[in-house]
Amino acid sequence: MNPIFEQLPEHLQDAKYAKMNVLDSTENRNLAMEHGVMGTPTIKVFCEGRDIGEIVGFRALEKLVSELKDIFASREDCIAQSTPLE
Amino acid sequence: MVGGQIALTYQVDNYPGFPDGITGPELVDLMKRQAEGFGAEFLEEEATGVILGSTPFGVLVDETEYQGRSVIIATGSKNRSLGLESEERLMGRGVFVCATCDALLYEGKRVVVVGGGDSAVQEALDLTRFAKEVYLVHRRDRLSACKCLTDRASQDEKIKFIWNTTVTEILGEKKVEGVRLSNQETGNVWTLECDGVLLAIGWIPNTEIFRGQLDVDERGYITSTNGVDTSRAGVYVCGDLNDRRYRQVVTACGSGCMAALEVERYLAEKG
Ligand SMILES: Cc1cc2nc3c(=O)[nH]c(=O)nc-3n(C[C@H](O)[C@H](O)[C@H](O)COP(=O)(O)OP(=O)(O)OC[C@H]3O[C@@H](n4cnc5c(N)ncnc54)[C@H](O)[C@@H]3O)c2cc1C
Repeated sequence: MNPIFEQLPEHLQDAKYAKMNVLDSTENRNLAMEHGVMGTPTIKVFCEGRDIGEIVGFRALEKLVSELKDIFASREDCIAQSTPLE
Repeated sequence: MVGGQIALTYQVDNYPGFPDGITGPELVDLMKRQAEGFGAEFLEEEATGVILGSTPFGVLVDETEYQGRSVIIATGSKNRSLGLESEERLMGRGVFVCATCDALLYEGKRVVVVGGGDSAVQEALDLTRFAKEVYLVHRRDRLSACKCLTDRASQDEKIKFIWNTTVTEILGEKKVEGVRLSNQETGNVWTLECDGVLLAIGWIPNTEIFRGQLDVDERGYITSTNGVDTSRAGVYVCGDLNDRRYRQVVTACGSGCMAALEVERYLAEKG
């Protein structure tokens, strides 16, 4: 999924991306488990700290971008209200 | 996708030449660059049909036909599924197919492994490193895995066996909450609560588009006398597609090399 994930910022600029490897540390794993992640890869979308959607499993780039756009679109209010993260 | 399954694998530690391991995508990228260096061209398309009755052979991508004097087939295989709606819906949400990838997320949890062959038992053993309890559900009354794995599993206190039983439903709305089990002998139906279901019930070779043009056995594998030839001269197979036993990158590369050498010989003989 990595090569696809890394292309996302080019296609969807108004989001910040963070990658987390559950194999790296117990903290990462616990964080994933706390958010209900049960499989890899899982992409979670947060807005203002709120969990607003997830995509589970592999996708081709185009499909992933369009599904993420749907998640973003359904939360336009939230995105409009949010202040940029630094 | 160029690279197949390994492009989706985080870490490969058992491919020769990389003493510190390498990530799947990096390994794929290196192989691709090497092939390109020798003039290979990559088309990221799905072959939808083949014409193998006469030479030049044809590979179809919808309406477009690509022709070649020889063909190597390396389409791999997909995980066999139970055929349940719930299985598809909960895939990645408790249903999974690879313990190496996801076992960590089941720390302290109860997982049901479905299957009874080498891969099911290996996956069950891998899971015991993290899971609290592992139930191995098998439709027969004993394992078909090799003795060494069977012995290890039988001695493992975390693994419990449920024989003569099939999974008829995976329960849960947003995530796995349990499985419905049916005993083949007694007809008894019951529910086992669990957090995860690992499917290890074998593979189906991706040979649909070749059926009717190449001899295929009852399980869908392309018939071969030496592992890489087929019922049609000039057409070869390699990799996981026709491998029922090893299924590793190094063995897939090995059989790929065998197929390529056969092509070379075939073309030289044909002149
Ligand atoms: C999670 C996981 C971890 C693994 N870890 C390791 C490991 O650490 N070490 C190791 O040695 N092995 C590992 N393996 C096994 C290894 O990935 C396989 O043995 C290897 O990928 C087999 O290569 P292949 O090219 O034969 O088949 P595949 O990798 O399955 O590739 C087949 C390709 O053909 C494509 N294809 C299928 N049908 C068509 C069509 N009609 N048209 C066009 N393309 C088509 C598929 O999309 C796919 O890209 C792992 C496998 C998995 C799933």
